[in-house]
Amino acid sequence: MKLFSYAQATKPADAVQLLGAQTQSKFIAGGTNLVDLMKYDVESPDRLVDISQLALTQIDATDKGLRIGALARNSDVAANALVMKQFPLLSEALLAGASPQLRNMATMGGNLLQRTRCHYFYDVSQPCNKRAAGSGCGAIGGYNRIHAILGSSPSCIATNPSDMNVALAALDAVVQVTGPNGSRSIPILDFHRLPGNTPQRDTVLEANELITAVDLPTTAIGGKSHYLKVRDRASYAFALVSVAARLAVENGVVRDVRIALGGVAHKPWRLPDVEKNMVGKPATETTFRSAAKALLAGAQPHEHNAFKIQLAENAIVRALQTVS
Amino acid sequence: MTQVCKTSKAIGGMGHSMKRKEDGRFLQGKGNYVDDIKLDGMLYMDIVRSPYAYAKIKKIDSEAALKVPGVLAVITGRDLEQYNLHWMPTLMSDTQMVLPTDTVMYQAQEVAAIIATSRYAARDGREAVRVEYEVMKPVIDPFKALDPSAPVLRTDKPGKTDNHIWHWEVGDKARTEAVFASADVVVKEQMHIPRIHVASIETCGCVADYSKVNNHLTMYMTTQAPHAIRTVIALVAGHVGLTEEKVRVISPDIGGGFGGKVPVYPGYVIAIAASFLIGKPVKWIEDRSENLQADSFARDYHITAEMAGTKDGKILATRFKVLADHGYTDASANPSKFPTGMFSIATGSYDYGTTFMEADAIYTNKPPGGVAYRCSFRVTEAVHAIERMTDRYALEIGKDPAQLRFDNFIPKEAFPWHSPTGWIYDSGDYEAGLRKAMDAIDYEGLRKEQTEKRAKGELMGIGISTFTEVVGAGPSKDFDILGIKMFDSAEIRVHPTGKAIARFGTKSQGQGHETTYAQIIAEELGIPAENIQIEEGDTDTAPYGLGTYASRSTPTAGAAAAVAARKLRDKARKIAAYLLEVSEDDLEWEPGKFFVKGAPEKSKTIQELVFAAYTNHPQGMEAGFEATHYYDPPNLTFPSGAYICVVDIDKETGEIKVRRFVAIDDCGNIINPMIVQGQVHGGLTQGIAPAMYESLIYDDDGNILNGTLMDYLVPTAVESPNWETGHTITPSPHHPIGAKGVGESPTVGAPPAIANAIVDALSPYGITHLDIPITPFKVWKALKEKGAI
Repeated sequence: MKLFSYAQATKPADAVQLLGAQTQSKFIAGGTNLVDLMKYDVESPDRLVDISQLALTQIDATDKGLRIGALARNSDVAANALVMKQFPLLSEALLAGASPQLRNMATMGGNLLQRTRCHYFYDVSQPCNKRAAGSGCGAIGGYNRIHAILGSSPSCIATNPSDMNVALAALDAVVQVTGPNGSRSIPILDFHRLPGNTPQRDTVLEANELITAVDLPTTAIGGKSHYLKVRDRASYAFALVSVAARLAVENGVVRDVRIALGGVAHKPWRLPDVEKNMVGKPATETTFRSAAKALLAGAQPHEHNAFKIQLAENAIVRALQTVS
Repeated sequence: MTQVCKTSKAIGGMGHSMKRKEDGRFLQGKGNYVDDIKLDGMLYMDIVRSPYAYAKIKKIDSEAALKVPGVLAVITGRDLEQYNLHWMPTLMSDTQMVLPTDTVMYQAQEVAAIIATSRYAARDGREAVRVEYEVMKPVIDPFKALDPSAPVLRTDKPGKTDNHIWHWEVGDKARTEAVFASADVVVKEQMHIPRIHVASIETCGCVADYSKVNNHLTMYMTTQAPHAIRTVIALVAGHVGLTEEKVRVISPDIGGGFGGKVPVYPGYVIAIAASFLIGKPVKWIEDRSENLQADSFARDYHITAEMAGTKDGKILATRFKVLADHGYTDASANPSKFPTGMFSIATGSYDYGTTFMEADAIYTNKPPGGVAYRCSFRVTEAVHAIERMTDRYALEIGKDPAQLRFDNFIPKEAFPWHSPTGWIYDSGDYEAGLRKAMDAIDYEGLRKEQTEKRAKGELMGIGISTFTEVVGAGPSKDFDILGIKMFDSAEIRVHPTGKAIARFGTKSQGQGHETTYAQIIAEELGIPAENIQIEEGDTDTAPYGLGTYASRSTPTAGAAAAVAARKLRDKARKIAAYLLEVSEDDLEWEPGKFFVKGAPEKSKTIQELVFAAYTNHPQGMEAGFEATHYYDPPNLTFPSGAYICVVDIDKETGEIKVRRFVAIDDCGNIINPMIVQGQVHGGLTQGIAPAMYESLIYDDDGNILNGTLMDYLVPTAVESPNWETGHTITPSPHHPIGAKGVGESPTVGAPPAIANAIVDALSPYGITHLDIPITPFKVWKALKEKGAI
């Protein structure tokens, strides 16, 4: 492991300033992802700015919904009474991820920035455009069972591994960030990126910006929600495919719906047009299946992950049936 | 048959669910593991490992590493070569590199060792070592290893022209072929028992403490067989002065062994060499990935299995052909005369005429091993083959697999039963076990439910495994490791006040020996188990023995404890006769005292008799109250079990849910029912592991694809079904306390029950076999291929 210096920030503004002082600096909070990546030499920062002491752990009701501090621990968020009452989908997704020990350390902001589990990204002896821009992609033509079927590019077929992000996508979350040029709000669907030819960037966050909170808007959608995760082991495993679904049905007809997919793309996969199309249609398997097919239109399988297309379709239908 | 407790709860002999005596310290975090040992001036070792599966070492540059603060030395194969310590023998009389001088043979092989003043400095030093390799194309696929075009891997062996290690066969080839040629029904499957890893919670490690002044080595290490290790060290390093009396091996508390802590790993030898050269204690503790990637694997048998039978369900013959992938050296941990271990138990619980089994072992560029992972030397592979094929045959002729088993079981009157491969099964009642399991799970009801579900297109399966184990190695006429006979030992010393200490040649790794051995002695002597301290693992104090693995502790050392205790009871009888002034024949024993026949008020307690042995012993009798016994078992023991598993499979995701799992074990007489149940729970969980989750996977270049516990799927509590356990009791007729051993039965018996259940669920779609681990993905793919989804 490369030697690095360490500084602790006590205020968000200090954190941003401390980070800006050196080019190869990184924020560290729970460390559940970054420490692993440093051990594998995937990340080798010169300096770590510890933000774990910042006062960003609160979960508060606001007039528009709920504000969750960026440093709220995954386990605390999952068990929070407000979250469980208003946004049970988020609880469900968080509890589907990692292990209790990891959830006790992992934070909201860190989970948003969780990096891919692509084997080639983790193995520094292999080419990876995400880790080393321009070095190539080992996964295309390699062992790509866990990789993307949607929205990938010739330079990267990695997926976003987070369960939480999928739920946030279905919940229309807004990410609050602060940086040297002030604060801004980023809708969740704009927060994560597709790889294009710059797969080294997972999100639109600038290098010296700090996530401060995640806002969950209360909507009139009502209805029920469900997070369905399909994986190789019932605990402590990443999703092969996951579905975050919210559905409101009135008189057997879809009134409103959100569907986000995990494990299939570089970002949580949501197509608002498909959802709009479902409104007014009967809440039946036919509607769900045609929505599933529309969500997966243009899916591009690789050698080992073609199963994901059918699996995702089945999972979407199953999740919607569960909440209808 | 049921078992009754002969002793009171206060004495705590056999049959009492006494709480484990060792748990007090474990639950309070006061266990003493190798990594807890800290000695003055202790140095730390870390190991540089090869990123390639097969490569020539062109250069090892230590210069930068030696400049890392705290780094004292970098040890390479060339350094060890000067002392002729660069190679060592394996337990199977093959050879294994300690550190390579020229070539690395598998990914994660040891290349050089760093010795430093702290663990961190050692790790920094490791990263600073620069190794230049010339990468070669490895042999990974075992089926291609014998191609004439495959490179010969063991060029260190003069005259070696291929990658073949050995051929083994047993049974009647001609007769078996004749039966197969004329049989009405023949079924055949190609199956793989996957390469897996014990993944014990504690990794391997040691502290090698060589004293130059005393020319003495104390070796603290995670070993299941401390005495054998002492002898091996003396054999390997005797020429540099470490003869056997100069070596003390101490195996402290162990966090799980499962066979993975039987072998001698290169790290141990390098640590000894480093301590010997530097004159200070050297600690080496593997990290998790090193443990998983480099330490001995288990299983990895490719089996062509065939069964011949009649149309109405009578098994006539079996045939098994094995290709054993041993990695680059045969470092199995089998008794020396058994290259395939006890694989020849593969005729199973069934009474039929003939079998023929053969195996070929080959070298590949993978880590060495072949350890008996919670398994009596390849019994797991054998049981999987026979139990899978029994179901396969039942499917072929359309017969219920339970009924087919009843029709073929060895009847209980036929014991001792001579198997076609030469084993003499001591006792068994297979019908009673299966009947009990079927009643517990409502087998008939389940079959009805299955019929209804199938009509609706739902996937539900029921799988049975009625296995026979062969454990307790073993009788000295057949069993040895490197020539040392596989007896085991117990030494009991009773103090004047009637409390005792007993020492054994075995070594608990979680089995609960400190409790169960005490209960055996309590049963025989009437001294409360609470008052009997059990000690294992220190070669300076414990009597010689071959250690704990292959469910051998109760059959061997447990028997030794009973026999040694009986020697002491005989002595107590003599003292009682002397004190009570009667003849020995006039005395009767009840647990805890001798009394005069017809006059029970005239009695002496065992505590009084022991005290007399030190204070008032008869003239001419040796004072003291101690006994030792080296028990050479007359035969192995043959535990059995009847397991039934019910699975529901989600057609759309392939997800497999184990709805119920009933395990009826027969391990003979039970020492501690609670411990047996605990053993069965743990073993069943390690049984679902290879059945549904675990398999070490290598790509064509020999890179391990799942070298961390994130990707190598060890089941957790979440994946563990609710185990429903029970037992039948068929005592071993030749074992002093009628016990058979239980630790491994569940690991051995569970995988085929699960595989049979899953295949049963999928059989309406023409699926006759799936290799374990059967993952949701594998199920989904099979259904897809058959057009079922």
